[in-house]
Amino acid sequence: MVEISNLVKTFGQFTAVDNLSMQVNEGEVFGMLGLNGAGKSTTMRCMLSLIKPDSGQIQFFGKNISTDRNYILGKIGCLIEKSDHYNYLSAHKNLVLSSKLSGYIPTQKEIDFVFELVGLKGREHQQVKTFSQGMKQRLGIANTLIHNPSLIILDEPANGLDPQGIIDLRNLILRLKNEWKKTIILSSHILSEIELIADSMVIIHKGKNVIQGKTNELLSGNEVVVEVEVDDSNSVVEIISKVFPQLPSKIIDSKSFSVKMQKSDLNVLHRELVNNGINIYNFTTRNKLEDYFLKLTYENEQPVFHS
Amino acid sequence: MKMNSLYSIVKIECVKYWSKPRTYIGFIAITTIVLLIQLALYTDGKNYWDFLTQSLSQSFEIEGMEFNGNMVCFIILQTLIVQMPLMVALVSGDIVSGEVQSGTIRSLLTKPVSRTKILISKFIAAEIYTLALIIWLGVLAYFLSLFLFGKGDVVVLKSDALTVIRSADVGIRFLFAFFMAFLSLSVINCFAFMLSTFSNNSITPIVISMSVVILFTIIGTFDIPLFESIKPYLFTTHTIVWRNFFDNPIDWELIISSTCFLIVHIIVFLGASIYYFNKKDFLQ
Repeated sequence: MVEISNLVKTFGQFTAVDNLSMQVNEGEVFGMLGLNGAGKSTTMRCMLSLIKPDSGQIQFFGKNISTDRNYILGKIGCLIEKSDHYNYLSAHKNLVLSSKLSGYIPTQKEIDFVFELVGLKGREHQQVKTFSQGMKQRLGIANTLIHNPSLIILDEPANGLDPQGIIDLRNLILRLKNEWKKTIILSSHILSEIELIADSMVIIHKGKNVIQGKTNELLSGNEVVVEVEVDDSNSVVEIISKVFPQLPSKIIDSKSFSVKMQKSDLNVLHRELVNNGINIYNFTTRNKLEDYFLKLTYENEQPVFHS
Repeated sequence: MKMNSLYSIVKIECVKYWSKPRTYIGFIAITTIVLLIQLALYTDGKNYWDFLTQSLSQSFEIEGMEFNGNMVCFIILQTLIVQMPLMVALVSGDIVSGEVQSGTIRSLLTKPVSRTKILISKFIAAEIYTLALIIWLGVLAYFLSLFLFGKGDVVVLKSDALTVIRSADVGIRFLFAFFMAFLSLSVINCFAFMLSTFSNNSITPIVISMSVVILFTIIGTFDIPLFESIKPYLFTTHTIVWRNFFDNPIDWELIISSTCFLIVHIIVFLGASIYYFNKKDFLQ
């Protein structure tokens, strides 16, 4: 349904999107995961022709955005970063204007349905300036749905929502996919958000596609990273290097270390530590993708510790 | 799903335009100023008339000339034509940049409407506002003045001449003058509109367009040789050409050349706006 090939966008010396390619299939929820500034929003803006890419191809429904912009945008509903509205107009008026601009005149029944769906029923005739950020975000989602698009693009849609709002949004996205067979592309910098709803995902880092695939496949690898908290991490690393000489282990600090290993070897590691009289205060595992994403986050914030 | 016509986009723009409180500032200002002038002239018009004709009465004997609606309208037009560009700039300077600043431009540009169509519809909405402002001025300044003061001849006082326009001849001249004022304001409108497409915040284009109008107007008032050479190229020089409709005979050549000059400015400003808007990356 969506195919991006070799997309490049630079701003002066800075390359925001670096030869990025990705594919989205019809009927799936597709997650774009990346840290802030990774290039997710720039990619989405290029997809929606808010930004002109330097090179590369963006195709929707088999058509190119640069040549069939209006046809494509007529089939898309989108919410880019935070939701902004005409504050001096009511939510109802904002929704109707947005729909009309998309070339669709909604019936009152459709308007009521969408307001109900996003939890704004009863507030539709209030001026938007009286809305909280969460309510504005809900109205933004209503705007993306009112003209019944085939593809919905949501850039960090959970921004500004309270915990209940985030759960409601997640349920709404799943309903849109399951009941109305919509294709949804959403971006986030939080792995757990993507993990819970996306069928497929891509990790974008420094404008590049680092990895793309089915979410369950990416998250269910046999290799895990174990992080253990003990009294003295140096002595434990010695034990590990004797039992698993081929495994790379990493001392995080004097009291904790991490090691990459097969899931099936976890019980061996645990047994060896107990048998050697090591006091274990914490024993956590992460899959490879989680670890990878965490590392990206870590790299961005402070230097990585090496063994 | 049908594609949007320009008409339907203009309607949407007008709804947005006329829902903003800022849009009404110009109307309130015009109403206040016109009513104040009318009230002042209604209560103390005789003294004002004597003051205006003071220097002339030493050389001429002026008889039968009294304050009337046409004269009041002429005075109002002369007074307000300086302030009206500022009112227009206040609204037009915000029309694109305001949407960029508030973020609503993202929603607008991800609809199945071309950027050119969006920009032209915004321009038309701004022109409708300018026209409405001029019509409102016409209703208050011309019709209300005629109602309050009655008909009469218009005496145009200049530093070196005195022109009397007969009452029967005044109406059509006012019609032309209001049309010319509309064209002049359209240039200011276009200029503020162009700056609005260039900017990402609404204050900068408003301040710049107001400053340019004030600066050009100041240059236009000084008879310094350096300024004299640049005056013909300033659009503000041509925005006051409506006054020439109250000359006898009317200098059509000057009016036509100024009209062409103003139209060329509109085309250049609008063309630059469309070109830039189509190229612009919206990162906000």
